[in-house]
Amino acid sequence: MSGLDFKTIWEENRRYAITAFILFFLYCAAIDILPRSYLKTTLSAPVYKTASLLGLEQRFHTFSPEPPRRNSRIYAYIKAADGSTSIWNYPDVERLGNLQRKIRAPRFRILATRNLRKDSILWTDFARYVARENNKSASSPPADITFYKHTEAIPELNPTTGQLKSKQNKEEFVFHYKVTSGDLPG
Amino acid sequence: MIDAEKIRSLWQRIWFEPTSPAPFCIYRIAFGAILLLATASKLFDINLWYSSNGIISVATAKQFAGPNSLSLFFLIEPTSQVVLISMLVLMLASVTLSIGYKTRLSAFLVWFLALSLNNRNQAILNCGDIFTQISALLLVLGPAGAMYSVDSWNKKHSSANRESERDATDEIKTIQGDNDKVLCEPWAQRLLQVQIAAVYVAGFFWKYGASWWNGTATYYAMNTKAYVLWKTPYIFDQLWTIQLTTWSTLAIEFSLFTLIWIRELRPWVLLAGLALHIGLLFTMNFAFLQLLMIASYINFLSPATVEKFAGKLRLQI
Repeated sequence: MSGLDFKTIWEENRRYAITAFILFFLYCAAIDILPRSYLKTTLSAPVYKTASLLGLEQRFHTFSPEPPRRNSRIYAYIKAADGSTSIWNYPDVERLGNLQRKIRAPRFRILATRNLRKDSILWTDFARYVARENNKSASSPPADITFYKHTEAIPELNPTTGQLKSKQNKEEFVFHYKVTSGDLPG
Repeated sequence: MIDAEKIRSLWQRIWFEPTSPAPFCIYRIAFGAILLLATASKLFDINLWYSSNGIISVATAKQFAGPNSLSLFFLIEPTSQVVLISMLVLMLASVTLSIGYKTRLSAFLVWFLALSLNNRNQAILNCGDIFTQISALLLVLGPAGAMYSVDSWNKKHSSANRESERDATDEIKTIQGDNDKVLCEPWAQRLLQVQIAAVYVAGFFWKYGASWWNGTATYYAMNTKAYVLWKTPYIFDQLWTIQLTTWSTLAIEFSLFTLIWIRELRPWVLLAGLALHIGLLFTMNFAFLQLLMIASYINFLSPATVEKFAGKLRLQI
């Protein structure tokens, strides 16, 4: 087929191709409104692969279904090979200066609050990272890491009276990892 | 009875009737500038988030992102140098996209590299990152360089190649009328408008939690340490102001996908949206999302307004 033919075919059909793309785009955007359900999964199936490939997956759910009702902080007990223990705290970027905080904190926050949940597949990698970061003594490298989440409940606001009601804080075990020699460089 | 011909004609008018791409092109300038800042901000923690020595391994990142996700870093190992070079290329492409030099290629590079970085570590993505990759794709597909760009300036001033360029122009369906008025099919800009509305549709309908409807949501939001940038005195200490800010957030989000389509109300809806995002910009820490959303409103302005504004800035077609 010559180049000219191809051009003609494109000219004749481009509006159909664009229309197909518009319908695809609108369909992807519309599916996002649906709540997580079997229906949503079924309707997403035909477009999921292409939408993922093009980066058209919609994820605009900030403070949905509602803002968090607690402030949480991840920390870990690190047991070294010689039996000594130390505590590691998740980077406290909230204490950075205003500009740095504006720039760096959101990504730390998203990882910790949205994606480092109890059953997350990210925990093993995260534990290995903490092990690498705390591998300061060649004779006694980290051997065992246990992660906890400290949660401070935000006092509940009564929508009628405006009164605040305190709630209990809690400590929660989230993940345990046994460090292997392959996890540490050198 | 449904008149198929009327529907077809309406469809053609909405998506294909040539119109000035001025808003879309000015958005391109703002988008490139914001993306440059956003990418530069990632340089602080570049190795931590993206390199093979970072928190998340490539194998886990692939699993987390899903089997259909595209990333340069799934094809070549993201060493520190590779990630740094990719980010510098992305920053350069943001600049060339903003000034409209090799616009389509620049937009393609921006889309591909932004998507690659996003998929390399989806565990740190925010709404701004998602909006960026969708916007970039629409800038690739639409006539983003048709006005206020180095490309359009070159086209106008290379009279020697006038004829051949006219062919190229016809190919992308750009119609040059009298007085060098550039007209293009607006479907990409319309899709961007739909996308902006979709952000608010999701924002509104997914907020089904009790605190949004009983008016206390902004109290909880402003007491979540990880989100707060600056806690405004008084506003979030009084029940009535908390309820006012909560319900007005819902009302503004609702109007940004409903009333926005009514031409007469549009300026007021956009002003309300602007107030919402400026408020969030100073009080909540959402990185560059607020700037992106504010810039995206340009796509809802009339071409005449944008052209007048660009004329005042002496921007050349």
